Amino acid sequence: MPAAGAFGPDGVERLRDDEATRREFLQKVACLGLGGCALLGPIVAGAVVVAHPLVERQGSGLLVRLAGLDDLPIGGAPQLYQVLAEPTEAWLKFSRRAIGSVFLMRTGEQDVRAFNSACPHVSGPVTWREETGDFYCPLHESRFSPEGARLAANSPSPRDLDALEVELREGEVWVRFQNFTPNTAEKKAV
Amino acid sequence: MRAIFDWFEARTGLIGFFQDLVFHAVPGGAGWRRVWGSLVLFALFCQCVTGLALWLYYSPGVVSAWESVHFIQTGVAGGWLVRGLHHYIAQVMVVLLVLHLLQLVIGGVYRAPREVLFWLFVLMMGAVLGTAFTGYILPWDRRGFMASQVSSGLMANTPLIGPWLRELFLGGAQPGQATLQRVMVLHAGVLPAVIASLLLAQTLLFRRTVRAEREMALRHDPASLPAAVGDANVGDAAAEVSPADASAVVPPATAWFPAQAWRDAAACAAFLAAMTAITLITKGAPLEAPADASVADSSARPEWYFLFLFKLLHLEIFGGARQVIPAMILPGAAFGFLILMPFLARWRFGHRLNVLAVCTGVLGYAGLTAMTWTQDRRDPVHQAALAQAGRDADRARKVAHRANGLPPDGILSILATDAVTQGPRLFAQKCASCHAFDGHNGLGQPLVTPASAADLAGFGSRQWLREFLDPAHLTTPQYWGETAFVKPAEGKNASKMVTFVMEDVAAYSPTEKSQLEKVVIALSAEAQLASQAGDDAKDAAVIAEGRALIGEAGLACTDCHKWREETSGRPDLDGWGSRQWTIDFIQNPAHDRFYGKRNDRMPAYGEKGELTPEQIAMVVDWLRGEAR
Repeated sequence: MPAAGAFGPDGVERLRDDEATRREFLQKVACLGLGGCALLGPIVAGAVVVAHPLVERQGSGLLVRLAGLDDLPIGGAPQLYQVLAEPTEAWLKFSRRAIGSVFLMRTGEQDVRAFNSACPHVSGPVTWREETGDFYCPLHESRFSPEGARLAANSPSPRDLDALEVELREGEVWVRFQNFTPNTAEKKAV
Repeated sequence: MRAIFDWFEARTGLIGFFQDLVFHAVPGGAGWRRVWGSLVLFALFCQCVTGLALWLYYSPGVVSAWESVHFIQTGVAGGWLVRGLHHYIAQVMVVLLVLHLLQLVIGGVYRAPREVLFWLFVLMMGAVLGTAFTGYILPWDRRGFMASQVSSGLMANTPLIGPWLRELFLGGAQPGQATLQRVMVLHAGVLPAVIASLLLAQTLLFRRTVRAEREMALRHDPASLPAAVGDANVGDAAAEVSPADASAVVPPATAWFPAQAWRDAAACAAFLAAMTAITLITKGAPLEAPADASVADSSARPEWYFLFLFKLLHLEIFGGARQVIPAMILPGAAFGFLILMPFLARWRFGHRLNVLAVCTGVLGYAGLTAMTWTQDRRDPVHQAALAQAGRDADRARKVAHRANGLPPDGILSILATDAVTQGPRLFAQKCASCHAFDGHNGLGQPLVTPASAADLAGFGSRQWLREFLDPAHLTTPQYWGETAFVKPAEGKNASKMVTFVMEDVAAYSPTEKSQLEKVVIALSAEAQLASQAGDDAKDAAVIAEGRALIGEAGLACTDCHKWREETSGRPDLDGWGSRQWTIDFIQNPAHDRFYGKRNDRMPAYGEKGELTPEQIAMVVDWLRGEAR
């Protein structure tokens, strides 16, 4: 039924109906538009905050002195060294503690190889097996050669052991310690 | 498509349910005055969303609450904006609730058959106030800490269960770790669940109420109802038209959607825009200095919506055991009155009485709040305390910001070794019983006992020394006026220094006066004040002359003082006023290097162990204006 008011000739009634419909349409548009903006506002702001970890800059790694060059025998077995630092998490700055570990092996007079000891699969604890001459992760039995290459055709790990940059400074072995995203074929620093 | 709707509606009835809500008739027609309810709902929605986002980063703990909030403000992308929204919406929510209450009461919509709906709203007001109160505590800054302390103190006064209630709330004997954890549970868990339940109850009840009203109108005044055709209010309309086909159901002229709904949406959008603008202008919510039980901070006030209570508790008529009246009885009575209002409305003048009572209550509340606020603004002691609290807050944030990560022991562990923070506090505690600093106690407050030693602002500077050696100033209270050097005990003489200045210096010829000025510049250079480094470098020639004038060849200060080649006499002028000299002095002013036996009343702070070497160093750095 049309809204109460003047009932003139037919034309007036139809016009009032159209007016009412158009007004209603505008109201609906305003309601959904404004309401949508109002509801989306806090959600978008909240989403930015939630997504903060994705926005954080990537670290460029921490350069640490791990050993003296003379501590590593040429052609010797890989040795595991702890990386000590003062890590920051959220607002916290911790005192000196272990933040990871690195395999060091001296392959020549001035050549040192370094691997992050976290398995590239899901960060399991890789160890060096002297008997079999390989690196081994007990979680899913990934195996890696002394050069860090995957040994099995269908190795659980999607990539080789993560090599780290080594700097030799005056007889000291410095390593740029870094972690990488697990379980990806591409080696991406995190 | 319709088949899916039909299937769904047949199994859940949800489509009809939401249609009932969306197209319900708004009594009295659509209008801007009715937007408050939706605004309250929207504000709650905003708080939930922003609150969840904040909860990802906030950590309730005495060493992590303030620190995590600071991290949200400065270290999380968009954190300051979300926290700002959360803070200001919480403030405005209180106003919205009162406005909605006024709308309900003045509009008469709290009466039959909407009594229970109204009571649910009253309960929700209480729950929302509870979330505001608990949220205020969570940042664990000075205000939050005081809020927990004062409110738990008030709780303890409750008859019978008081002390237990207090310990339950605090999680122990004092506000601390346990308090924060359970306040967090209340704020983010229990109270939101209560509010959600109340909202759900209101929604379910609302639908039912709308039907009951329709029945009442049909019985008493059918003409008041909107036209029956296209009336989507009641389920019986569904028998004629498929409920899923919204286009066939024509809403009545006063249906909520879209006539009232668009106004509500506009109000919500405007509200969000306003809150965002406030957040942007103020650059986010404030963060006061971290909670520290050892700091006597009198500037703390409850959040503004509790100021009326603060004021009432201050009134003498509510003193002592009668505290329980404003703390418990009055709020309880107000709450009780709200509950009874729907029944009072049954009398002839009941409704008008209710409107009058609620309006008077709101005005009284506003009045008391305004009174307290104005009173505080006019109180110089409170304003000085506020100013100091502001300085403490600025310093804490600055220290946290440049620290690049806070230790697990929290911000307080860093502030404990910060000279800018601790210097004035130590001064106020240990030195201000005798010394003033620029007329105050270091923290902006007047001295408790009148100054009986020199004002130490600018100690070591040329101006300070100039006035010290000036007969017009030396015997004033600002320098030695109140000391035993000027007012000796019975049978003792005034100190020789005082006699020298008051008699010899007073009679100086112009040549001697200019020589004295060079001596002042030279001695002040011994202090090596950073603020004077430029001038000292510029005046190197004058300083050299001044140094020569200290000895026998000049003004003969070495008659009494130790200086360079002259190895006896006191106080030692070598390095006078320098950092180490001042530290050694505070360590023991009665040492031979300083006042020796003529020391007035100054304690040997270091020797007696009253101040550790680190503390003395902090006071000295602050005094010299070199605390960074």
